[in-house]
Amino acid sequence: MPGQSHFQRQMQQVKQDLLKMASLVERAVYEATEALARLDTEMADRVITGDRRIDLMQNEIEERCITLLATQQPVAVDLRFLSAVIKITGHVERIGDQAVNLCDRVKSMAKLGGGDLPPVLLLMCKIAREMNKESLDAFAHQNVTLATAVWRRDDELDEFNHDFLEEMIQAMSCEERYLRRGVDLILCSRHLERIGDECTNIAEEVVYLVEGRVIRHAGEEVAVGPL
Amino acid sequence: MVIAADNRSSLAEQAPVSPADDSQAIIQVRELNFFYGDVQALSDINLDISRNQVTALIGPSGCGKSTFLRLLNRMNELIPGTRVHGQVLFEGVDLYGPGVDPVEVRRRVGMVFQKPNPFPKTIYNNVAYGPRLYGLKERRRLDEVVERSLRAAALWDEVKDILHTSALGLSGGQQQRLCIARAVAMEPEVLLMDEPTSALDPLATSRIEELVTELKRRYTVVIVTHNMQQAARVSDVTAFFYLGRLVEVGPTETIFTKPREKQTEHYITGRFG
Repeated sequence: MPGQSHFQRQMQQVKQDLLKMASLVERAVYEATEALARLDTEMADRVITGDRRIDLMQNEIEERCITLLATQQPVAVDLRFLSAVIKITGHVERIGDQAVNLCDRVKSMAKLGGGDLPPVLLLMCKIAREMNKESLDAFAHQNVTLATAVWRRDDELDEFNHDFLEEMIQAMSCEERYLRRGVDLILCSRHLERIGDECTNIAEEVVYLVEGRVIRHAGEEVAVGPL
Repeated sequence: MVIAADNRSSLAEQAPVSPADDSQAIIQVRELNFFYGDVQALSDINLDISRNQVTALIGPSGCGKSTFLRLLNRMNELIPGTRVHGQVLFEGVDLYGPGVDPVEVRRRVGMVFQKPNPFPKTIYNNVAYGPRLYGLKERRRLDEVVERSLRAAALWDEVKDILHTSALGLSGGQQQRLCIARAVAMEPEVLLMDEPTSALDPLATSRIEELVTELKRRYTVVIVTHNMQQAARVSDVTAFFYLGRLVEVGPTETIFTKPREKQTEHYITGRFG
């Protein structure tokens, strides 16, 4: 690209690679939640196999960022960008892991057989997918408004997860035969809630990247003292 | 104290313009404008230099940072046709006020230049030169000053056995530390450094940077540097100059992670065009 330094072109390339990795993860989350809704073990297997590529991409992106930090010694927005990319890459990879976890549950539940997925879990799937997409859009366009919206949405999934857990405990204590399926469903709810957490973390990094402002942990400051 | 007490008591007869308070600022620059003939090199500069801190002045060539540095000890007036408006308050006294002795100003605000410039004399005599000019004759006390200054400049161990050999035989990095020792021998309160490592290799640079960090315990340091990483490494406060104006000043960690001004960000990230 004319007018850009070699360093800026390398930064652009890092961003493109992260977006490529993010699109794989977005697809993995979509397929994992679809597999869950339909108890589709073939689709679940595809997600599990595909995770290896995501893991390798994480290593590659992180290594490139560290090389740029060492050789270019970036400051200000460039430093914030590389620091944000390293962290976001980690969060994206963990979202991929949660998709794999969901698929493990799909396989476990498929063995048991059983009824439809509780509507609240379907709703949680939808929210997790939306948060995943929006957090990555916020990064791609460095959009703080969108990032803040994702960040605020995390409570929604937390609440559903909490309520669902209570509900399942009630149901499982009444009917022991639902125990096994109940545990699987609780774990699914937990994995979806974790996807929401990782998306929130990505949103926090986007705000830091764009504005240099730390919003995680509600901006609380704790004196750590000298190292 | 080496220099006679009455010599360092005051810069001039004038009373401080602003009371010398306990604040962190040893130098307060107020509405400073500077001209080379008709050309205005600095416009409306307001800046406090904090005591016992390292302040880095950064900016592209020609932005006025070296001009500003030289205004802090009245070195610019050695250039004909220059004019100064505004105030440079040193401990509350305006350095450009009436009756201020520029020689005394330069003793209390010392300077280290870009290229090491030792006198063609022995190591000992380089350091003893200033104190001798100020009337210190007694050999034993001169010995003390030389040793203390060379220790302060982290050079003593390397030169203690060759004090009476030519300073020109030292390496570039050693020569620069000798120049720092020479400045320190005058017991200044502020040390101005104009790109002190630009002529040195990375190892010598690193030694000077370590030294700057040590020096701030006793002195206030103002350093002009083109090396962004050096500013980030050694300074507590960074001031960014552009086109004769002070664009932004703040804690170094803030300037290098989240500067307030776009111009600062563009400069430090190398996007300046």
